[in-house]
Amino acid sequence: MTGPTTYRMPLGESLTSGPWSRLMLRALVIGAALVGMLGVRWTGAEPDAVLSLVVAALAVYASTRPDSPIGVIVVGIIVLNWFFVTDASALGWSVVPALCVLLVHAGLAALSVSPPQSALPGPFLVRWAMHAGVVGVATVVVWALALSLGGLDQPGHVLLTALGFVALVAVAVVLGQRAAVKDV
Amino acid sequence: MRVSARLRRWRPTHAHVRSVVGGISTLGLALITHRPDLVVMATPFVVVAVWGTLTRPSSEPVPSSRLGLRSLREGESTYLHYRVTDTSGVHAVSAVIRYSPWLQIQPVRRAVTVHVDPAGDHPVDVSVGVRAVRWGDHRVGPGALAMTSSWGAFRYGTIPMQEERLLTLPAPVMFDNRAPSPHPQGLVGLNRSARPGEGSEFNTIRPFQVGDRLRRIHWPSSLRTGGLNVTATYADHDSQVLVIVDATNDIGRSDGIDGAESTLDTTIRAAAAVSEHYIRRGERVAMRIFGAGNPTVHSAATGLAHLRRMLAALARTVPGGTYEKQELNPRYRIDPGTLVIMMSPLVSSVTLRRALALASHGLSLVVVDTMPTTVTHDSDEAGAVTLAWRIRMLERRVEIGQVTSAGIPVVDWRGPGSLDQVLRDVGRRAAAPRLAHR
Repeated sequence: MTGPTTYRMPLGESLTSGPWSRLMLRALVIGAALVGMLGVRWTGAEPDAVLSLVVAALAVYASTRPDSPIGVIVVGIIVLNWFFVTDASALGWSVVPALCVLLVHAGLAALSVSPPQSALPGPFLVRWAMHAGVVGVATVVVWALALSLGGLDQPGHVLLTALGFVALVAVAVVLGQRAAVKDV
Repeated sequence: MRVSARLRRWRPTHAHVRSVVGGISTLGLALITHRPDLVVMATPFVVVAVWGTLTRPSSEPVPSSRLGLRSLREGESTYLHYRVTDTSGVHAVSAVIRYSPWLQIQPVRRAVTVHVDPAGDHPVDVSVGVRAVRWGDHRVGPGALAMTSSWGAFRYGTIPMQEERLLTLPAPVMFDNRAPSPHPQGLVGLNRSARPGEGSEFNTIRPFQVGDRLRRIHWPSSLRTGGLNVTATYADHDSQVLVIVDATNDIGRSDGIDGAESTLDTTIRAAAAVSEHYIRRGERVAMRIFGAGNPTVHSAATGLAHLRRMLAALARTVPGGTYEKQELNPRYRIDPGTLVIMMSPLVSSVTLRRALALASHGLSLVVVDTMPTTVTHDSDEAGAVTLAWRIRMLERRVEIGQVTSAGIPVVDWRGPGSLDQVLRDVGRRAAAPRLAHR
């Protein structure tokens, strides 16, 4: 006696067989990663085609396994590529890779929330789009502030910078401890 | 189901780690190298990391599961409900159901994600449709539930959910039989007795006797003859039916209610249809399932509760796969006059010998051949199985001929009316005198 075959979703199948909502999010992640890599061309720098292909491949894999550390590697390469290929004069274009990094992160996070076979409901996508829009606006505000403050030409202060960074880390630690207390 | 404490708390996800690590490292790099463009690039990470951390849920969701119906018929559907309480701070609930043979899950990918209002604390229901396509005692699940917070930063679970049992009774196949039972023996029922008595079927008009009911007086003939005459009737008696089910083998491909039938599919559905037909007519029906991994015996009784017990036993039938240790001539404790209906694909000669043994006791026996026409072994590439199957089918044809020549009717199962002609023949033959071993 034989019955229907067992349904499984291997990697190759999961690339193309997901619901449309997931396929669109995957395309968004891969496209944003590529734009983040190739966007350095607008600053006058030459993008590394091989590295861009590697990032695209990693983005494809990360979009099929969104709840994995591969996403960190993808956004890490985009940031480091920008850091090494451009210089401080590229501040005017930095909002583009920043928004691309946001899209990659938000897309992977949204994909990781639900099982690989599951369709993403409309209200769920709308909420994620709204949240990403809020963060995008915050990024544009910071970019605008950086552009306006960049014209001041004031020398930096090492001590104040270090203190600010320590304060930021302290806030992160306090928030983390609050989270740990909630667990108990 | 016990869930480890590690799963029963909110844990940061890879997404949250990515935002925290990305934010701190990019911001640190920007500060060290005096690059304001890196501050811009760090902004999305920092905002998302802070947002995710600040909205970390403190609730402890409690999941539970239930089936809409615990028992249904083949082809019918119900829902599996996962309910989660204490959902404050939860943004999404996801559920995955394991593949189960003979169950169609809606959505077909067996995974659901539900959007949750994080401000509310009301229970969240995640429901999936379940359609049973084959009889049996099925397991729905096990499944898994996971709850996530804003930005997918924290996850509660994955919580394994216990499987639910769904008893799927054989489909109510249309079966009708207009032929009377050969030996009605009971006190009440729909079958016309051979003897006069209280009933509804006209027998004759005879003179009034003491004890006759006044409403039986036939006034037209009484006026003509000048004496009281009454209408006599045949008694209405019920009969006892024994359904014997051969569950030794399950041969052929089964695609459930919508596709091809295996031998056991046809046998079980036929037995269910015949049992249901006679129970609804008010007869007493007994059942024996032999050759199964879980042989079952049900004494003769009537009523819907008895029908339900028999259908449940049929649904739980597991093919035994062996004829060894089977008693060829077991004690059936059958009342005289019982109509015995044996459902079998007649693959083994043991079944036919069993039929011969039953008939030698003088019982009215009908063998129903439940071998589907779709069962073949033509796809066997080597050809050996195909050849063996054809040889066995030829032998089977000879054995059926021998049984038929011994006076035991063998009929193919064709649904409604399958037994009409053969039961009429059995009834006529039952009226004739004969010799039998007792």
